[in-house]
Amino acid sequence: MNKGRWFILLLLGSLLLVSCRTLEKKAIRSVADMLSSPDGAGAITSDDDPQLIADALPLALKIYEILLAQDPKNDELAAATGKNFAMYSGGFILLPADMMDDEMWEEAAEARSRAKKLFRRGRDYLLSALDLRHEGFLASLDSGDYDTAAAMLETEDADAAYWAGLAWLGMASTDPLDVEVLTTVDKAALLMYRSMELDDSPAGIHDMMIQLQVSLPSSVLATMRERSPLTANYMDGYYESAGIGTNPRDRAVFHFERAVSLSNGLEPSPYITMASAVSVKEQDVESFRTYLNAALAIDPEENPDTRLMTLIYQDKAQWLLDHIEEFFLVDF
Amino acid sequence: MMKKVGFLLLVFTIAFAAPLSALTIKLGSPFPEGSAWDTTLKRMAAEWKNISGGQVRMRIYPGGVAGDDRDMIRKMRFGQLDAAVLTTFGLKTIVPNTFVMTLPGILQSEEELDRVLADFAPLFDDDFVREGFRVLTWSKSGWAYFYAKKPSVTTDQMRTEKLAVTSTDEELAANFKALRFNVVPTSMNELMVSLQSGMVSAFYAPPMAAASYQWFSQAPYMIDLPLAPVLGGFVISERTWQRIPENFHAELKAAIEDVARDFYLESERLNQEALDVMNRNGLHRESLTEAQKKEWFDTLTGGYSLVVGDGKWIDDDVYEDFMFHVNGLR
Repeated sequence: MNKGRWFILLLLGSLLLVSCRTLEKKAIRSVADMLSSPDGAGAITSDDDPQLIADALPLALKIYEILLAQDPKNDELAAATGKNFAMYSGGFILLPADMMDDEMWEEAAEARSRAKKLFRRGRDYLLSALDLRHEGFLASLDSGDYDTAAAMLETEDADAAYWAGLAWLGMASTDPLDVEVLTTVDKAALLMYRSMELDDSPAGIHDMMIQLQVSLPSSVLATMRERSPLTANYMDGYYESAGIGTNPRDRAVFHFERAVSLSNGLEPSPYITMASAVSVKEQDVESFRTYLNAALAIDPEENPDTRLMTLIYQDKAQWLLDHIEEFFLVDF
Repeated sequence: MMKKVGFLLLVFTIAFAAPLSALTIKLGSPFPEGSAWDTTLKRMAAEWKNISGGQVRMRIYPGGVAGDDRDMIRKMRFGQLDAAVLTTFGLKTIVPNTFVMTLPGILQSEEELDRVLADFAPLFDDDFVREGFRVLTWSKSGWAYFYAKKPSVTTDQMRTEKLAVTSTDEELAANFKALRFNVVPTSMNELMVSLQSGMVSAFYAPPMAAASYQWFSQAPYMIDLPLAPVLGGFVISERTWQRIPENFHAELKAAIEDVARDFYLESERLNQEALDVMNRNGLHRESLTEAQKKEWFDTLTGGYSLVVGDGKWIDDDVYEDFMFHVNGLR
């Protein structure tokens, strides 16, 4: 074989390799696009078998990670990966841990520790997705330049910002005495408010806002407001235009009503949040029962897109009612 | 006859086979649900159940669901609550003389605190029982320190600051006022906003709180002087304690003391973690010379006149006994 033929073969081989890699990348991108599309997510959230999803999600999460390792600049895939980690941690690790009997304190502590790690992983994927979209976003957030970081986010980022904030707050809730995490929670609040500013139409953001009003120490919001005057202005204007004052309870009720209205009353989560965050705090048994019975009265089939979450939350609502004596000091 | 014997046998069988009805103790706790401290309480509840063969169970109401110290004490008096984890403020609401152990500057080291908790604190047991309570164990979780907006090493420098004192703590506020500090009563919820607005410029707190609530970011100069120990206690109503069969008392108490040790170790870890976090985020720890330390302690201990004496929080004789005890340790 002469030198010319060797050269042609080598060139063809190289081209083939390049095109294989290109094809591989294209294939990965198309699978990734499918997984990170609403249809991909819908395959999970519309399922009617929580146990099936609980069993399937760990493998799915690893597939997301493998795809992301092959396509690390894919911000949509990074966001979808983070979102699924947060969803799995909250719905399938933390929620069952919360429902464990006190006697299973060791198992509950282990589950919480695991949930914390998964929330952290989810949050980091989501933050990296936002950083891929807006170079310098993370640097601004880390350095405390909150206004610059928030200003980089656009309407398309509202969902990722919401999930990043949720994963961050979830991480804090699994270990409420983790000082390192607590000192950063104001960033989660920033992401939540910025997400609402960009798009306040999802019911989920208002559900989280109920928690933010009644559960976060006031110092966290005060810190965030000081570091992000633009967000503070937005908050003041938002509540003022809604005719809501500064009382956290009033704001919680406002967000509850918004969440119910935006979901057409078809999502149990806001009812459960009010029952466990407000009714228990105020030791109001009647409202506790009313909220939870309202959550249980929702027909999961009326909104097939969120069927899975409806079933999971209704399970929690029933558990809360069954264990009512653990939350109220009155004798039943 | 056989029928009668059979009936009696049945009665005895039922009487001895049926376990004594289980007592469920309702415990109020300020610890956040799911925290390491909350988990430790759950572990203790499991131990109490094991020790008593299932006769003593505990239902924990975490995260302040049962209210603050005063609420929980009131509910224990009514019988709505059986036990509570109280802070030093709650304990002194029941027995004001216990305040002597946490007066600013009165104790100066961990060793002194340990000896006081072992030898002096039990002297208040009868006072608590007279009020209808029993302290099953005292717990310690670090020390409070001063933090200020600008470097403040001496007492005179601190007197130029606007010092936040929790509005629920009138006695401490009075004590600091007597020492000519510029006291501003402030609720804990408003401390951050008060620091931000300049309404206050200094506060005191254990490192864990200063870091978690990010107060230190507003007042980053920490005086490296342990101001007062952060104490608490596991309190049960005497009525409930007496309902627990006496043969279990010693073991139950031992289990709770074991838990108190875990609280302390966890608190040490958390306070150290808090200091590390604050150090990485701009905390300035102001070291004091021996002379400056002495000046602080002399000032603080010299200002107890408003809280010690007849008709005041701490009886003269209790204060004198305490100082005699403490001086014996030095």
